[in-house]
Amino acid sequence: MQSSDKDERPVVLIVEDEPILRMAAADMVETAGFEPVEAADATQAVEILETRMDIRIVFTDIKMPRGIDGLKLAALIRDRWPPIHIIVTSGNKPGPVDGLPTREVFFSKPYVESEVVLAMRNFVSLSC
Amino acid sequence: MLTPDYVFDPQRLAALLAYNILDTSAEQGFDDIASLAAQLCATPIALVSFVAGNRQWFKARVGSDLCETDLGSSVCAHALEEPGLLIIEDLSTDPRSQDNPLVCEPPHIRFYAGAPLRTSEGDVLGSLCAIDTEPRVGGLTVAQCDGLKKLARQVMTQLELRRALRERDYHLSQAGLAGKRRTALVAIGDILRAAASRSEAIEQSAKIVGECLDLSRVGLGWIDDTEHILDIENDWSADGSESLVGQFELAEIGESHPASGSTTRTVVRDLAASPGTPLHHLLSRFHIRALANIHFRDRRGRNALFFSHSESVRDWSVEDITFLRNAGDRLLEALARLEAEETQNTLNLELSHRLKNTLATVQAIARQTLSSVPDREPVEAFILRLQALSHAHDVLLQKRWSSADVNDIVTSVLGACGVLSRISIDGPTLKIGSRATLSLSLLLHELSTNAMKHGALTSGTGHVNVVWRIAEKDLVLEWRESGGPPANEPTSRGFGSKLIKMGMIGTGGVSARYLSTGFEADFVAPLSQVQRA
Repeated sequence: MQSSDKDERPVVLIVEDEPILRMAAADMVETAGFEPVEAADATQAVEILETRMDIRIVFTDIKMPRGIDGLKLAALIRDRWPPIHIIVTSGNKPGPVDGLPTREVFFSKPYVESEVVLAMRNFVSLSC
Repeated sequence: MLTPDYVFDPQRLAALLAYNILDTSAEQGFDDIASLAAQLCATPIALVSFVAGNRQWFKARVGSDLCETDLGSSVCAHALEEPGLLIIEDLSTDPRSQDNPLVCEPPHIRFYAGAPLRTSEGDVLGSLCAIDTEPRVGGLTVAQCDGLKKLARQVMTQLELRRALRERDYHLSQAGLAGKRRTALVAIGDILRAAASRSEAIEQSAKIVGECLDLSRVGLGWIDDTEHILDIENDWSADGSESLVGQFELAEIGESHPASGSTTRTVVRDLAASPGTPLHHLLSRFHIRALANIHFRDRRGRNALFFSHSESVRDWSVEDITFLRNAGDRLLEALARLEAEETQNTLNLELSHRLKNTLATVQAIARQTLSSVPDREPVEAFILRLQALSHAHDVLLQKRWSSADVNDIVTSVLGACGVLSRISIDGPTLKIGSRATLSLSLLLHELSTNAMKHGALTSGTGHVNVVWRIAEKDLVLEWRESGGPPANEPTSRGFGSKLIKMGMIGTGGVSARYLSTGFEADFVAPLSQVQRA
């Protein structure tokens, strides 16, 4: 793939602590025509968000070790980078009390890849 | 003249107190006797007089407005030790009464005839007396003396009757209270069994206790071993009384640390009776007049305090305390159960999370491993079956992994396939076991995948009816496709058709029909096996 092509692909930040799941997600995102950026936890994700201005979508797990979880990360992104779209995934669907904002899209693990990709494409076409 | 010593005899005073007659209102029986005594003796005044340690008090009076007098004005005090009657023909000349204010000053009484009021034990409580303002030389006739003694005995009979009635009423009310307490305990049991949260369990059971014993506040707190703090988790308070939910220092509320002594309860009848103590402070701050604090140690060794407050003085009976102990015991049991359920719930969620993560990892590994396989159909079929299995776990989690409702399973699996709008679902509410939940989920997934690939759901007009029912001891599930292309029996035997042939619980019981109107199948399995966990 050419570097000029890369620049035009929408960037998706994947936040997932399980390496295999992170790799599979990156694969899915890349196959769908996005540019994947990977983070192993929320702290790393925030560092990436602070240095890169081109992230369009964050695809995050909820339950992660060390520091903040995916729901807190989602809230933080809403606060500091409002234009970024958020997709949340987890083994158990969080209830409204757990603080999943209504704007976020949720997929139960294991997710159907085509459905996640569809949600990403919708986000990108909406904001284009 | 000094009051005779016998007036202050402790046994006599105790006997008088036991009749509970002092300062009661007028009663016809005593009034009648006083009036008969006045008639009999032809005197303007007659009294039923009880002599206490500091006064004489009149239960009945004719011709006098006095309710009571001090002992210095009492002639009756001198009648107590008379074996028969005390008769003083002229009070103004008798050394026992010549200084008596009632003699020296108005109403200037002069003649006194008194019959002692003697109990069967021999204690004299007072006298029935006839009084005149004129001296009477010769006193009473023999018949009058005899009559006055008989009337005095009638006063005692009235007194005994009165006491017997009071005792009967007391026993009746005690029986009523016992019934009320029993009913309250049953109600507490019912409420605690249904309670979904700790605060609900505490408030509802406290309300029943409070209303049963007519209290102002009942609640439960926890005593911190190291901080000497009482943390009141929840309480119930009557209208007008404030809730005490929050933290208090033990010393501040007059409680000692339960481990420091053998005290398992603090019961106070009247906080106003102990001024200057921490307990008294509760009175001024929270208007608590009486309290009963009962200590418990729960299964985890924590110290609980079940407290009851009253805004008026209260004599806590042994039965009251037993009742409070029972109610507190039941409440703590219920709280332990709720806590265990909460822990179980957390564990279930954690387990589910790990299971789903593992399934996701399996899916990721499969995708990576099989990425070079050119025929994508089997890969996709595998991943979708994994999804169906995962949805079955979601349904099971809702019922703590033990069972699931057929309707939930059907809705979940078919919903995940995105075909719910074209499928009619009908059947009774029915719980099935966890194994059947997993196999039924996979079965329904295959059926709907096939319908989408070859059957009724390939065309826009096709439709599927899913009906389940109980036929004798079997569960029957019917799958009916219509409006699509004619059904053809598959020539190859893939994993999908094997899954279908295994039926609802993996043991067969399947009859499939490939009709021109579409595919139809009936699945039958014994209810007992389907519902086995």
